[in-house]
Amino acid sequence: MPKTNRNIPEPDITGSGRLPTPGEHKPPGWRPSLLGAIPLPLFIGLITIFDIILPPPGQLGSGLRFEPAYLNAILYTVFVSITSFLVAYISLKSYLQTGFTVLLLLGSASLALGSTSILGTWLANLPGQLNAGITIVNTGGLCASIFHLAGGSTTSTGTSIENAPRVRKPLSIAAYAGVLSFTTLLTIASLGGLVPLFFVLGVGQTPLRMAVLGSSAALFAVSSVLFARLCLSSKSDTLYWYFLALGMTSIGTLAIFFGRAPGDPISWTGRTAQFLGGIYFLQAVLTAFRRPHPSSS
Amino acid sequence: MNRVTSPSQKTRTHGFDQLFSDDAGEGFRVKSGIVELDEMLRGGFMPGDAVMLAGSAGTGKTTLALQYLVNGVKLGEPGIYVTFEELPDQIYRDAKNFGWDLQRMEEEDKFRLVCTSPNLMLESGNDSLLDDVIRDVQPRRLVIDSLSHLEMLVTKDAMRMEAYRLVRHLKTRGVSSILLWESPQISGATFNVADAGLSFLVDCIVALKPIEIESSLRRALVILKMRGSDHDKSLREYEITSHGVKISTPFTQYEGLMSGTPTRSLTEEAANRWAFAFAKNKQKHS
Repeated sequence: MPKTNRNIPEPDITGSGRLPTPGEHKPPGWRPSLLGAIPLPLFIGLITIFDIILPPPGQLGSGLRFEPAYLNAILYTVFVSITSFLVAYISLKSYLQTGFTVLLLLGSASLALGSTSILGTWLANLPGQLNAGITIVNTGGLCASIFHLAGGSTTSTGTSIENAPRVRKPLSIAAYAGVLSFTTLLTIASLGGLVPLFFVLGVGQTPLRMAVLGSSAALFAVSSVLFARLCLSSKSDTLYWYFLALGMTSIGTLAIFFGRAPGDPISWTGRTAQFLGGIYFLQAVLTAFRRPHPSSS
Repeated sequence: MNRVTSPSQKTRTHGFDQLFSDDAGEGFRVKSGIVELDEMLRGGFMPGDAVMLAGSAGTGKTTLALQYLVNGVKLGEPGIYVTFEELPDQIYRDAKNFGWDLQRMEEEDKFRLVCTSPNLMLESGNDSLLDDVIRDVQPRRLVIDSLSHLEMLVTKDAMRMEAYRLVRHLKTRGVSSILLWESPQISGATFNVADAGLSFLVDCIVALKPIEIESSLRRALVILKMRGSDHDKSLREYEITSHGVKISTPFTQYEGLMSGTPTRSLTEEAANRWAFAFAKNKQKHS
């Protein structure tokens, strides 16, 4: 049927001579990629299975560990840091344009995740700095999860403040500089041994690390649910990929919580989930660059 | 004739000699008094320059020019406003709406409003009818509203000659002038101030342009040319407020403003959609 503007059907003068009833002509509905959601239960299942079958940390053989030098750092840089920086960048541009504080919170969260991931994973390769690297990555993850939860809460409750144009630049500079300063101080403190131990080689993770990882995983999960609810009401592709990314990051963090040692199957499952989360963050950014379908706007 | 080539004693004191000896310290500029515009001009107009203020109807040329003169008076620089268009009462009334008491300034001999006809101006030739009032007020600033009225009475070539004579006449008296030019173009293709062939006669061109963005009319100011000085090349948004012209931020989010087809850049468009997803969506659905 020929159409005029935005799915408004023209009268069918050559056919039956009647206008379609409302039920006959519906705009195409919002169809998110369900394929993207499949890894969530899949990874939860894998982590559960590995947690059941793997021996405790003390009995874990070296054959069950795979940790080549720099591989983890490279993968984290590509899939977590770079994608996080992209999110931080578009959130900053967005905030400067509109002034909604939620965007600044999301940008700060991504900057914290990206900067601590890149620093921590590369530092972990230095001799004797495994604990420092783990401390930086895990603490940065907690920081990011707090910012995400704050962002998710303000968005869900509709309490995101709209800042005036004149304060946007100084506020964004303060926020991003604050995050980077925090990362720098955390790195210095971790390298200087000023932060309590997160990981002891040959023993495993400390209760502090478990608390940090557990909290991060929970906060990422809650943030993911908040954005998922928003996604359901707004039918936004960007939000869809964003909540999935947060979900994958939560699962990835949770896997490391259950991990026996760096490089074991659970660790790699968690890392893979986080890398996939990074891809989903990238997908969320890419959807913003595409012109939305009329029905989804 | 003599006054142009051989300035009298009195005229010379307000000419180039005085201008450059007294005020031509490092970086001396003729401030418009509008902070943002002065920033765009890197401090203000160059002393003695002839500035063309071009724009279509309703863009605020008269307001901006009056503001320039009023701010000049506040800075101790007397000014003259020559109009071929509006009657004095109308200008006094409009200026009062912006909080500018032109009549009081006239009483204090810091300002003159000259309402005349373009043919009188043309007929006076080099013995400019402005000389008496220039001698009287000893202005540092002068506004002609507008050159477009002169254009109605002469051919294109003659217009260039008349404009050249006027600009030279004012320059030799050390007066910084603003010449208003009504550009017929409201929208569409590039902003054309070169049609009358006047752009090379002036030292600086400030263009005011109405722009349609997302179905609303906004105004942009741009400095197209400034001889002997660097200047801001960005298009800045401005508003006509109750206190005069207020210039705000550059239109960094848009491309194609000059061609009349503004579109957001790809990144800005994406950032807008990103904001819509996370912040505006909630407002829309709540």
